[in-house]
Amino acid sequence: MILDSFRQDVRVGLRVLFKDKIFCFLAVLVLGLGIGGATTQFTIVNAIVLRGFSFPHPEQLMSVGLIDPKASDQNNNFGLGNIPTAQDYEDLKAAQKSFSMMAGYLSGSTINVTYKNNPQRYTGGYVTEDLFKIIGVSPVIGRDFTAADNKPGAEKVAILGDEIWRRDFNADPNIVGQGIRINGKAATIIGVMPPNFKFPVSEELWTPLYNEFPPQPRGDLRLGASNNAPAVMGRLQPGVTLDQANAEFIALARNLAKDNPKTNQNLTSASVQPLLHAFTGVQFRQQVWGMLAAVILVLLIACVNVMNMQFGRAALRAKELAIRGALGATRWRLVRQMLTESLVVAVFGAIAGVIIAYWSLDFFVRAINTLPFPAPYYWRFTIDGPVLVFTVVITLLATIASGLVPAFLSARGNAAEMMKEGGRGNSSRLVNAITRVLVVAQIALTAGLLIAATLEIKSVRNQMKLDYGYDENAVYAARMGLMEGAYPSDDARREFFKRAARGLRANPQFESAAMSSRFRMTFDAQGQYEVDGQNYLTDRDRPRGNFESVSDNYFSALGLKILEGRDFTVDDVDSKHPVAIVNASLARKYWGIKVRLVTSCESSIPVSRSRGEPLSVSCRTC
Amino acid sequence: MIKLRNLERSYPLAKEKFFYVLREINLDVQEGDFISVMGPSGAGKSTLLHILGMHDHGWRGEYFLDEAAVHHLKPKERATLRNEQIGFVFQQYHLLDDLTVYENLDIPLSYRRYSKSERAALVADMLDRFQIVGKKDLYPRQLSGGQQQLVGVARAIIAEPKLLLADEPTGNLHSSQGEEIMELFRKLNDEGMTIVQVTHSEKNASYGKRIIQLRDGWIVNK
Repeated sequence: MILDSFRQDVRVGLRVLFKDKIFCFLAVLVLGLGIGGATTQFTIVNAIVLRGFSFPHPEQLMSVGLIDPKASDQNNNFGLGNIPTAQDYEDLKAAQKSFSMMAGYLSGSTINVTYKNNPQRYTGGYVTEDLFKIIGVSPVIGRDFTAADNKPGAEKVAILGDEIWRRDFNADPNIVGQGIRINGKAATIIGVMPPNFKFPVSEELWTPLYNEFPPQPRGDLRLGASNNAPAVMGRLQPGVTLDQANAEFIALARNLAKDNPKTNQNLTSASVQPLLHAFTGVQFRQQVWGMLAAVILVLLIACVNVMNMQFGRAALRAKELAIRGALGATRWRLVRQMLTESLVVAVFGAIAGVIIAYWSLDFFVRAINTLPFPAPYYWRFTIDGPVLVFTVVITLLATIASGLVPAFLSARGNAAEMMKEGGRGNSSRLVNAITRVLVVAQIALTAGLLIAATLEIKSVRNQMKLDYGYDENAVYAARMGLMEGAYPSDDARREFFKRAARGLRANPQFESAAMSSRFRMTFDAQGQYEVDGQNYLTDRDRPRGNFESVSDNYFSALGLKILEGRDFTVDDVDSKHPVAIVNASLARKYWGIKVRLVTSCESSIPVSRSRGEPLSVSCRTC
Repeated sequence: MIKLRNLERSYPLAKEKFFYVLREINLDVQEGDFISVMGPSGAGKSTLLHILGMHDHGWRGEYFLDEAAVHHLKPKERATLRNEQIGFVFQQYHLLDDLTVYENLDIPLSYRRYSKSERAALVADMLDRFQIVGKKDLYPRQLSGGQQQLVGVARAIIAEPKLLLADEPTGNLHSSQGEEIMELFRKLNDEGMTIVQVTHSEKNASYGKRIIQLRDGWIVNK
């Protein structure tokens, strides 16, 4: 019976709507924009924060890091912690009981592969033998890594991603066992991973970590060099909670600090967090949720808008409602009918919204694809089941938000008064007051949102206008990775760089050329330094600064002027006599004081196999 | 069937001052009666009818419908009683513009406990009885005034009320159409339906068995 009357209300609702085309168009447009915005943003939230990995029991996957409780949030990797060396990982792995398995990995690394004399550069992962086992994904062709594969000196092996197997290896079903060269060394392909698998971020192939980077002893670190310590993850044992795992790893961190005071003295705590958090930082997650809140606010404004329109219509339909009441409709029945009509509008709005969401997501994905760094592969911005459920929920909420109050107020009119000839409808004082309040609320919400959006746009524009200290349009940058296979020594790599720089400088298209360790001319490394005459009791006391390893001619290539002293020369390569150029602010701070640079085990150098940079070091010139 | 005792209806004017539309109305209506309420404009005829039809609740006094003391009933109970006992015909027809003739007839039933098949049977019966089967898919705007009022009457009686209230049912119709409606009322009354109509027309009033005159809210004769 209810279903029957619902059908009848929908039929009448559609008829009424199509009769009032302007209202229909405006209401659907306004709600469509609101629902479309909310659906788009929820799709983004779903992809980045909620959906996560599609592995078995992804909630058991955790990231692990050691924490210096007195260091800044940034130095503690925003709460995730750091694993300073592969040895720390091995010690933790051997001692812990919370995880059924642990694995280490270096993601986003450059891996040069030569197949049939055709060299290709890929984004790959250096991983320990358990990485695929821990996430529960196996190669679809061939076999997984073994502990023997991961050993330093073992025969080099690689597992291909499905995409490059199809694109660059002709989807050869007999690919397993074929020889390739990885970073200039002979290797064998042992497997192919499933389609759309690019774990941890956007890797195209994988090779064993220790086979490529044998673990170095603690404290044996070289200035400016990456120690290739892996990021670490673990799978919780069944029944072990996150708190229990944290408690265990904090205790383990204290033991490591006690046993290794020289390197781990300050790392007296640990952080075990859901693995997804390692890929989406807390600030980023907050920003994404914040944006969802903002678009829901926009939807709320849209609802208020439609509510105002409904009030206008309700006044026109007061007589009809009074007649229905006189014919036997209860107040609740009238409210239900009005709500059903609001639902019809909201459903059309939802359809429009989903279409808008498809368009805007397409635009968003294209924008994401133009970013210099690939987005994690598990970010799939698709309108799937949970997104549609969200859309249905917000559509129902929009129906209630935009239709309930007008429905209630319309259904409470004086039937006798309204049905008399010349009855005056139900534009009561209450309705007028509510309408006025709604308009004020709408203007206030819109103004607040506009101010926030303007500030955000200004902030983004300011970031885009960031003064790098040189003319970005005149400088071109390219990345190179020289691997040990082809360039086994520092001298060999240095010689290549010299030759490359000479070649570029001889090219009449370029005014100048230089080498830098700065990643895509954006990110550089951090390290601690000491100022002569100062006492530093612990590592933590030493100041930190960004530094960049550069070649001679670097500053002139960027159009930067040396204010005091001299530029680097090709001869500044003696590691026993390192030299540095500092920026003006650091010089002001320590004017007249000679500055000496040391590296730090907490360096956040982007993982890369680039080696052989000149050993001269400069701080950034901003 | 209906018993009104000292019924009054007033509207507040200023502080503690009221404008009385109906004063000390005492009226008895027997089952099967056909009463015509007459009087000049503003006499309170329509107000009296809407009170009888339980559309207006702001009155004082006693109102008995059959055994039910309406003045003691809560709004929801009054609505139930109205749905069971009363049908209403309006001068302005008050058909729902967005519904077809069929749907207009179905509406009162849909607000009551009738199954879908019962409703279909009753509507079909009513369309047949009023000879408007051919117009069932038309909208009110596609009908003449007389046809609209015919539908209005059919809608009023479709739920088989015992009491039919009509507020100037022929007010907007030309004479032959009005006559047709009044003949219909007479027929319904002959079949046992109690009718109370408000009218300005002496001729239409003569269809009733009794005439009640209202002046300034007072009954001046019965």
